[in-house]
Amino acid sequence: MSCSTYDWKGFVLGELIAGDRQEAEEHVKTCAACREEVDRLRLTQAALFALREEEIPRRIAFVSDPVLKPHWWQRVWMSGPAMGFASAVLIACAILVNAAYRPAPPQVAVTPAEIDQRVRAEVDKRVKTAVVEAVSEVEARDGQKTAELVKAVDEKYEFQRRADLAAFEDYARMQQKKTNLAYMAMTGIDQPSTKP
Amino acid sequence: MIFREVEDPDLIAKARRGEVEAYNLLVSRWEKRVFNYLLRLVGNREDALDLSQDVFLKAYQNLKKLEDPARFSSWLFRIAHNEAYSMLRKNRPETELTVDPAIAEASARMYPIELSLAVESALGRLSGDQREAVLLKIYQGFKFEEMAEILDCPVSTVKSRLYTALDLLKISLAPVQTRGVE
Repeated sequence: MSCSTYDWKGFVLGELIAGDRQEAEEHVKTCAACREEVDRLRLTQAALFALREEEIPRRIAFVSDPVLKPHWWQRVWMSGPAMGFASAVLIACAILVNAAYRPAPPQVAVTPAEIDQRVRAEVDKRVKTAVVEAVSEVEARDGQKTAELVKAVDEKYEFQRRADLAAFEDYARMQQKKTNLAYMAMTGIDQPSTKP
Repeated sequence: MIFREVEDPDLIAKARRGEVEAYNLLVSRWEKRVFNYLLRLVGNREDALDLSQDVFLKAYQNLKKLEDPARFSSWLFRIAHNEAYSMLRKNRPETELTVDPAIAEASARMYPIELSLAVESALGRLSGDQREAVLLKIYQGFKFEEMAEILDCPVSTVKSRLYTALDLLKISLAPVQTRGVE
């Protein structure tokens, strides 16, 4: 008969607190009756563990539940990787479709004679353009030079004209003086004394 | 990176957001234990399987009511307990099985596979409450407080049922112990 003060079932089942457990361990070392009780309980526990655990005949699984099932947009929105993958797939598809259906540039067969003709035409065109530009430049330069010469001649002519006019005026004044002196001599009008 | 197994609370959180696969993973972790618990309670594989499915369905439907995901196991077994007793009440009146000395004596000469049957038989001779206390403590490893929560009764009642069951099992399995279980 074991000592009734100890909870040996609780001891074997691991339900005693640390202090009580230590005290029970100390006691069971010295009390043969209690040791026998503990041994029998442990054997019973070991025998119970011999019970085979059954495999479940069918796995339990759930497909969906409308109560908790989120809306499709919630599932898509909450799934970042899915969104990223879908975007990548869309971009890849767009690139492939674009590459598959984009019209190719026209492939025209060109003969050497045509190439030569085109080159000549281009050269002629460029030469003509260059000639026109050069002629225009020369004409402009000549026009400017002519204008400068005309201006210089005009200035020279004007200067000569003014000099001739001045000389004529001096000659006219001299003739007027001579005429006046001759008239005075003929008419006897005293000449103003020039002496002091 | 260190691989870390997904914990039950994480799976519960995902299942609450509607991820059925997370809940299926949770089920796969617990279905065998729940099935065996129910099998020992009701004693019939088909009933135990049906009940297991009901238990996990009910758990899924009420997952949002689970306040502490860390206590999922005791909450799940509480559902299992309720489902099992609901079925037992409907199907048959509870009967107390008495110790059959002939079976106990015969078990002394059994091999390991037969020892399992002897234990099954000894468990079958306990009352439903006693047997359930043994199932929850010995096979499922719940603490007295968790058992009280599952069975919806005081801890003292849990201890009383379990201790009585152990005394009975100690007697009925004594011949087995003397032979092979060492």
